[in-house]
Amino acid sequence: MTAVTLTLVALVILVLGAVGSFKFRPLGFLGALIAILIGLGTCPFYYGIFIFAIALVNLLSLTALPDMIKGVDYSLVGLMALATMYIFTTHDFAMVLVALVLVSVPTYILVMLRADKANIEVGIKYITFMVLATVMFLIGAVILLYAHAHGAAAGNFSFIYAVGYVMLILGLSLEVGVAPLHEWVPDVFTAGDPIPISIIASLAKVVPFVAALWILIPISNVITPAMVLFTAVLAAISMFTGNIGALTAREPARVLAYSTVANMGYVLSSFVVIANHEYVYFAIAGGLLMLFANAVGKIGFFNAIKGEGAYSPFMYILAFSFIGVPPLMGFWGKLYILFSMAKMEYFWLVAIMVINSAISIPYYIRLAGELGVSWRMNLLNFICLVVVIITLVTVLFVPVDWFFKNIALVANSLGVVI
Amino acid sequence: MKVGYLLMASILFILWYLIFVNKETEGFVHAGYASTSMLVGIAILGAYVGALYKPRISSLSAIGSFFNDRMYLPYLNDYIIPKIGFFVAHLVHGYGNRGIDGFFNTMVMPGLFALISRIIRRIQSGYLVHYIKVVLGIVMMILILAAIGGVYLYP
Repeated sequence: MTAVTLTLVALVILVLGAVGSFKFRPLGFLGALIAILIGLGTCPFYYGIFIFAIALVNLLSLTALPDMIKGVDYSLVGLMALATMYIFTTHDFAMVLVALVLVSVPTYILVMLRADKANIEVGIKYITFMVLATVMFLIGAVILLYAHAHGAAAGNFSFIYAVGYVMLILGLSLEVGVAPLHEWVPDVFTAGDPIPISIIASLAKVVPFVAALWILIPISNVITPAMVLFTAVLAAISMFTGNIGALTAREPARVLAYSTVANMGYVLSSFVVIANHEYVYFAIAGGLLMLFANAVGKIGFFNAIKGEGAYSPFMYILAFSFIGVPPLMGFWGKLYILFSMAKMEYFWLVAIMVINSAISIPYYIRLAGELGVSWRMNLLNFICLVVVIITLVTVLFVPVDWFFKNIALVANSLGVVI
Repeated sequence: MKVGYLLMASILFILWYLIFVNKETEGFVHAGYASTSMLVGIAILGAYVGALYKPRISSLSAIGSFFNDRMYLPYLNDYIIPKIGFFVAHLVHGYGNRGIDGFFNTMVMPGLFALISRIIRRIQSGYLVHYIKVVLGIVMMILILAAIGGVYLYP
């Protein structure tokens, strides 16, 4: 069966599960689980395993919420996971944009979930920015393809290309929370329920980056190096804003919000490779590992907030991964990103990333200390255990060249042939 | 004491001999023979020889004894030199260490980071209208710059 057929079958099962969940909530969970298992067959193996694991942990953590919308919340997470897996399969520009929308829109509903009633205030704030972000991304992508089709590669339509590039990057920045367009992140992360916020901070972050790379890499041209400098400056601003902002933040959710701003800056910095495809494998490997490390770390910390603390050693392992202590997952992400930047001779950005990793140490350690408690047998602690195991995968299977090799498939699907 | 001075002056002669005879030090001889270095060497030698003889004037012996035995050397050893040392230590500790420590660890840099952090967090007013204004302002400004840049790069 082709990837499209598998995805369609998974979608049908997902819908059936969502409908059935109105009578019996676990059917939504079951439908989502089967759908993402089928989705595994549509994408590169290791990438798919990571997405599957993150989606599964998100599904499990949703069971800690009351059934406000029955089991449809499971189906929404399943849909996001399917779209995240599918984006590596398609070579169709329109389908990439569809995947972006399919990941973004379910979060509009998820963000409003909480124990008693819908969180309208957070919903309005979040949806306003997400709609703006998605519209800017889509317009930027269309403008870029238009410029490419009319000879941007030869230096024509550079004005159109520059505007399209900036719109796409700004749309991406708004979508994932890159500074200085991060204003919604601290408010939404603090006011929302920790469980849906953990989904927004984890699974929802992958597709926007991959979609942007998918569009930008194949159409890079003579003015791309100049435009990449803009991306690098934006990444640097985001790193400093996130890490310094987190230093004096008191609430754990707010600290995690600023941590997200900083981490998105790290991932965005890997975009410097789009000016030279030679090192794109390193950048994509680093960017994805960084996104996975960020995802599992955020799930762990937000679940700890929900459960008023989690087992202390788990918290410290996640904090060390965020800081970039080898050989945890966060370290490999940063290493590959730094390597790609150094190869592109962006040494100033390398220095900024290293300095920012150092700045982040105090607040991650403080966060782990505040959320760390003694062992308790409950679902949220079990979820923290699972995310710690995922974080330790890179320790158990060192070196991580298995993931790097798998990236070749990813790069091929991005239209990059090296 | 006299033996000590004698030995030190003798070493000077040995060094002088080695410098003038050895092949390896030939360059030094050529470079410094005609310069003031020879004069400095002779002056040091003269000082040692003078110290060996130590001319004494009997009418001034009381003053000599006063400075030599009671005031000068004890004062030099017990007060002036330690005071200089304490002053240097005070400079290093009081201004050097405290300055470095204060700059990097306790005051300036942490204060600067705390200030920037508060400024960053001050943007979070909680009002959607305020956020929209900030975001749209930034987006519009960057788009205008990008458009100008695009025209400028490849007109």
